[in-house]
Parts: sequence; structure tokens; C-alpha cells
Amino acid sequence: MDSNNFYKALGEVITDILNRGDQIALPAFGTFKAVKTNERVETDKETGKKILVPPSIAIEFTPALKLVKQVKNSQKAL
Amino acid sequence: MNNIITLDSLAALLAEKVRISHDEAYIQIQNSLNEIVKELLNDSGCAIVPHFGKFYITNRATGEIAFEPAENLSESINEPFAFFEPVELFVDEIDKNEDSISEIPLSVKEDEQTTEINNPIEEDIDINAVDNPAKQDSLDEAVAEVAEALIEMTNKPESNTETEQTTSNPVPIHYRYTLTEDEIKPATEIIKPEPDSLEHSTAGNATETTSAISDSVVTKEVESTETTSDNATEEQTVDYSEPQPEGMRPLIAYILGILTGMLLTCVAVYFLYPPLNFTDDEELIWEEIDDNSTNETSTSTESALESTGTQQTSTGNDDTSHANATTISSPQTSTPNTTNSTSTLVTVNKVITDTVSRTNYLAIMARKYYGNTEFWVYIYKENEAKLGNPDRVPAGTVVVIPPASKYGIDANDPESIKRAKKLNGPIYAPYKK
Repeated sequence: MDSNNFYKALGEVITDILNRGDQIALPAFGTFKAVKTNERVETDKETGKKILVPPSIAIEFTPALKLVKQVKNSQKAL
Repeated sequence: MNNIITLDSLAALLAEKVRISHDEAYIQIQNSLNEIVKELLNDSGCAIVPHFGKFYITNRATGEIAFEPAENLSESINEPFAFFEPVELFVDEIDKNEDSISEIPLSVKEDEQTTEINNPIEEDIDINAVDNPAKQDSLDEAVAEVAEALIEMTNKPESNTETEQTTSNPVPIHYRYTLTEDEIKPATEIIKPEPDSLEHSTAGNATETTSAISDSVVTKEVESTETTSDNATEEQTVDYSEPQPEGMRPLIAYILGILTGMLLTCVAVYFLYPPLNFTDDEELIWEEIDDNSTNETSTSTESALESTGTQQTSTGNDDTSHANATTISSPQTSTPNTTNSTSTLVTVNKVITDTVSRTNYLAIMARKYYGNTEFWVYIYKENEAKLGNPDRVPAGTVVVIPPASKYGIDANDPESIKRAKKLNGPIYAPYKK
């Protein structure tokens, strides 16, 4: 099984899970969570026009503490 | 929903999907994660995972990592909102519209005020006329048309008012606004152009002006009617706006219902309770009897009665004559008891009657009048025609009580009691089977 097929399958599985509204918690990496943002009116500051933005679902990734520490350490190493 | 999927369960799902062993899937996921972390910690600070997304470090000092999902992932997740697109709102125009909408009723109110005071409108229309002199001819034609229409209006003012009343009830305010906008303005327009048309007077226009003048009078009348109708509609609206005391109606109905119920019960009691009348009769009879007893004071009268009774038995057996005759003959023999004998006469002549009730039956009557319950037999014999079974005498039957002398009744004499007892058998005989 090549890596491309693997990643395709992984992506499908993850999308299924997130569509269900579940969270994915990977140890030493982080958690993935689907978050819905409601519709809102935004104003374009340049033109002054108001735009109604439709609701959307975004995937929120919060890195695990270990990963954050690793990133910090990498900066020190540099 | 809201379940937390761990690496283990993710591996299981992946294994199911790709048909590999659970451990293999687990190891592969772990390896890919390690690769991602390695890429992240590189100088680029960016790791792209195909079919999933892109991780990149936004702030290396604080260790902030952002995730940007791949296109197919975000699309599939945002499927429920796929049809929505950002819409530009024309808020300024909406605000303007709102302002204009809010202005409409104000202007109408001004019109209403001006109908009460005609001067301001005339000034307004003066300005209009001066500003648009070219339109005066067309205005004149319009004036003539409107005047005709108004004449028709005056011919049917009542029907108009009626329609106003009927239509103004559900939505009175809007209708009034339309009235003022459509009808009052033209009416005021008619008034104004008169001097202009007179200035431009031609032969043809002169007739029109005269008609216009006559029409102006008419229009004034129409205005007056319209104002009155407006007042009427206003009054009606006021009537409708006033909250009717709806709470009072059920209360009044409640009280009325209680009163009627009481009346009905009174009537029902009056008609369905006849025993009251019978008790009254009984009381009357008893009063009579009481009177008799008071006249015949003390036990001496009773002894006198007994003596007369014995006399009757003694003499009446031989003569078989009526009791009255014997009593009449008695005063001759015994002079000292004359007063008593007359009183007994009175009692005898008076036919004593009594009514049978639940508590006042033949035996009780016998005890009352003769002193012993056994003498009921004689009461039965006296009223044999009326009565059937002596134990089943219906309540309310009036019974004649015979004088004690008629059957030789004496409570103190054991022999008379025996005779009464003997009569029991033949009376009960036909009812015992």
C-alpha cells in the first residue's frame, strides 16, 4: 500500500469523523475539532459595504503540549 | 456526537476502510504523525499532508501551530452550507426606505391638519402653480374631470360613508390615509386654479370656470362631508380602540344564571312539595279539636262523654235510633249536665275528618280520638268504601272519624276492646291469601 492511498483513506476517515461532529485526539500531536461559526454581517472597511457572511464550519486544531514544547525547543536550537 | 476519537479507534476505522490489520494501521498513522512533526520542526515550519491539510507554525516563540484543511475536507464538512454565498447588503438604501416610510404618516398628518385649516395647503399649491405654469392647461382639464367625479361623489355621499365605515373597521388608519392623499389634495387643487383660469379667460374657458366655481362650492360641501365622515371614522376607531369591559359580561351572566337557578328551584319546591298543604289542613283540624277540648274543660267533660256513650249503649241498643236523638233526650233526664251535653252535641254534629299520612295512620288516629289503638277498626268500618287493605292506606286519603258513641267505643271497658279485636279478623280476611 503506497503512501498516497494511505493518506487518501486517512483523509476520508477523518472527514467522516469530523462530519459526525466528533473530535480526534492524537497523543503527542493535538486535537481536531469541527467548529461552526454562525452567519454574521461584516463591513468592508475600504468600501464601507456590509456583507452578510453565511455560516461555516471550520476545523480547529489545538496542538498538544508536547508538540508546542518541541516547537519552542526547535526555535532555541536555531 | 462529541465523542473523542483516540488514535487507537482512528486506526481501527482506517483498518476497516483499507482492509489492513489494526496494528499496521496504527503504526502507519504513528509514522505519518512523526513525519509531520519532523517537517514542522524544520526551518520551513510547514508540513503538508495530502488529502488532509497543511500545518504551519505561526509563532515559533509561543509554539502556535495553525492548521489549514485541504479543499476536499473543508468542502465535505461545509456541505450543509454549500448553497450559501456571501451577500452584499444594501444597508444605506434600506435605511433610506425606512426613513421615507416613517415620513409618510407624518405628511399625512400634516394633510389632516391642513384640512382643518385650509390656508397652508392653498399656499403650497400656489407655489406649485407658480412653479409649473406650463401644466395649467392640463390642470384645468384634470380639474374638470375631478369635478365631475366629485359631483358623482356628492350624489352618493351616504354610500361612500357607508363603505368607509365598513372598510375602515378592520384597517381604519390606512384607509383614512388613502382618503386624504387621493381625494383631499385634488379638492384643494380645484380651489386654487380659479383665478389663473379667470386671468386666461376665453369663451370656452369661461364656461369651464363657471362650472369650476360651482364645482368649488360643491367640493367645499364634499370637503365638509368628508371631514364629518373622517370625524365619524375617528369616533368609530376610538370606540374600537377603547377596550370593552369584557370581564364584566361573564360576571353578569354568572349572576343572572344563579338568580334564574334559584327562581327555578323555588318554583320546583312549590309545585313538587304538596305535603306542606296537608300539614296545614291537619293543623286546622287539630286547632278545631283543641278548641273543643278547651270548651270542655277538665276530665268532667270526658266523663260526661262517657256517660252519654253508656247511655247510648244502654238506650240505643233497644231503640236503634240515632245518637242525636238520645243526646237530645238526655237533657230532660239530667239537668245539671245541660251545658256539657250541648257541647257534645256540637262535637257530634261536626264531622271530624283526618288525613292519613306516614306518621298518622288509622291506629294512631284511634289512640288519639278513642284512647286505644284497637279501635281503628271502627274508623275503617266508617270509611270502608274508600279504603282497601287497612295496612296499605295511601297517604293523603281523608278519613271520617265516627263519634265514639256510634260504635260504643270505650277505652276503659275491656269488653269494647275485645269487640274491636274480634272485628280485626273479618277486615283482614279478604287480604290474607
